[in-house]
Amino acid sequence: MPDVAVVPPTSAPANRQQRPRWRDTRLLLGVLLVMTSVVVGSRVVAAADRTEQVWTVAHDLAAGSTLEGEDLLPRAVRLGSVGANYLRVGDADPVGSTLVRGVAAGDLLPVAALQGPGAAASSQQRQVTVPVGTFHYPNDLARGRLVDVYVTPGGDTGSAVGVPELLVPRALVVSVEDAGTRFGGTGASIGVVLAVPAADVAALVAGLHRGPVDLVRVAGE
Amino acid sequence: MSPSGRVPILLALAGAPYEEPLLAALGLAPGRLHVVRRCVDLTDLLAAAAAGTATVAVVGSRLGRLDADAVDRLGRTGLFVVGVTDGADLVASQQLRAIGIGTVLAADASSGGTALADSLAAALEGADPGEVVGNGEPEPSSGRLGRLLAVWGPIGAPGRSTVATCVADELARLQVETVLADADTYGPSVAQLLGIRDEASGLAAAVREANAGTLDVAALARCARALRPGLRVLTGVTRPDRWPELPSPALASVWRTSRLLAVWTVVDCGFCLEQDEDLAYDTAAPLRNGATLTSLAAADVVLAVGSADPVGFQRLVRGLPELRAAAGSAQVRVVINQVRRGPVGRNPERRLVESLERYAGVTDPVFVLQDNQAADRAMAVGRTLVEVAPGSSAREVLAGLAANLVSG
Repeated sequence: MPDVAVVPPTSAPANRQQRPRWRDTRLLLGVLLVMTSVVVGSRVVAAADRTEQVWTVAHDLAAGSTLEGEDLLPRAVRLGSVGANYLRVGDADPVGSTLVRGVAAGDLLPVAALQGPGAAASSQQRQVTVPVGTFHYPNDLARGRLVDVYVTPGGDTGSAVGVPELLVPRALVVSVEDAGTRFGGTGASIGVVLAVPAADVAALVAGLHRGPVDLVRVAGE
Repeated sequence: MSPSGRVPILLALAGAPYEEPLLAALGLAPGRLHVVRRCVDLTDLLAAAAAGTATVAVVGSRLGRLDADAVDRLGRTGLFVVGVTDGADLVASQQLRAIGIGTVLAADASSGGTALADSLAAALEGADPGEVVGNGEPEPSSGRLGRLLAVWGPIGAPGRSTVATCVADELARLQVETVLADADTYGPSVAQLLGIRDEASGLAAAVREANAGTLDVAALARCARALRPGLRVLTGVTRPDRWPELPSPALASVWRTSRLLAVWTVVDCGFCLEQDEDLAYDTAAPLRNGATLTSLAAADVVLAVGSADPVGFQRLVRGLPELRAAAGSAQVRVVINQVRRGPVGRNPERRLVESLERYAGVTDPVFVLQDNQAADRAMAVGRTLVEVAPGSSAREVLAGLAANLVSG
């Protein structure tokens, strides 16, 4: 009988359960697949994206308003062949331009509604500050709105109240100076800066001294 | 022996060309031998053997389904088995010896039946036909043989398989060629503990080879799987209901071969030591506890693993006498596993030492402290304790035990 085998015959290696490792081929393959599909997917979607960034208006702006940065919001929209009618984000900066017609909140900013910077304000329009008593102006009075300016002769003395008179129709509100911030907090009146045609300035200024002024909102602008 | 003083023999030569001449020779010269029956196949032979009409069975190498199990059954009915090969067929002769037939004759077709009858008579002359000891493979007499370590434990989960796998791993780490075998016929778990994914049972394959008489060192190595050089595993049956695949005689043959393959063979045994054949009428039926009893009987050293809680401890103490009876002359070492304060109280080791000495007469127990964290980690990744937690105290104790076994 032989001794304990000196050179023992070999046995096949046991197929043992492997500890999960990060350097697993299947794991790497899986990660690669996911990453490839993410890259390819995003590229396909990006290639199919036909939208462009166009300016929209944040709130109602009447004709004559000068655009400021906070009035504008970029929106991604798909315009197709009419894209040239609207102002794209990458185009000329619209800040400082004046609107030649009113634009409602959320509307795309048409190229045709814009005038060059300062054009209207410098040539035809004048800015006049009008003191308006509390409760004599619309509560949503804000820049860009159109208002009619009425004066009531004798209305502040309490005697012989006259017939209210339209001083200036469709004046553009350039800004609203709240008494609380500007005039030491009396709260009795506010100053409203209006843009009016140069020809109407004299009538407006004269009218302000005849009695209390009311600003009436022009709807639909 | 028959009353007439002649030896009654059963012939099962499966129609070999030397059968007729042998019969004629035996009939012409009615000496001591008397043919009781010519059996047509193995079933016929086993039935005739069970009837108890003969004391010698002469089987041919051509007899179908003749295996170690059949030879074992013939031996247990009290028959002396003689094998006959066609001519000087060395391979067939070796196979017959491998399945447990000690006496193999070569039937030379040219010299006729007389020569065979004479050699048969001569072979029976030397042996007492009534004695069964002639059966079985001759024990290798010379050379250094590997040793067999059986790991037993009472019912429950004292950690038999864990101790067996860890000790086998430690033995292999001491540069000792080791085979770990799972002979648990109730809850085989070595493959699971080691994270081995092969479904086939290595031990069952080796047993099949042994049963067919084709098991040698190379075949055993083929059945085993190498965890790494120096440590092989023979996994157990894949489901407990496949326990009949581990019959005792073939398993004993596997252990004999394993001693030639490895310096240490570590056998994970089942818990049950009952000899249920005492209860059964059909003595030829396979025995579920046969695998454990065979392994214990073959062992040089037995580790008796018990858990360190009152229930497990009591089971161990009650089981030790039974174990010593089954293990024969083997050295029995007691391993108390999962030692902790919880169920024992303060100073658990001192208490266990005292109790073991008092109730079981054990003086040199080995204590393995409970290390749940390391054990859980080993279990989770299917590795032995030393592979995941070489610094664990439990591992150090088992390494010391392995070193102790190697040094003798």
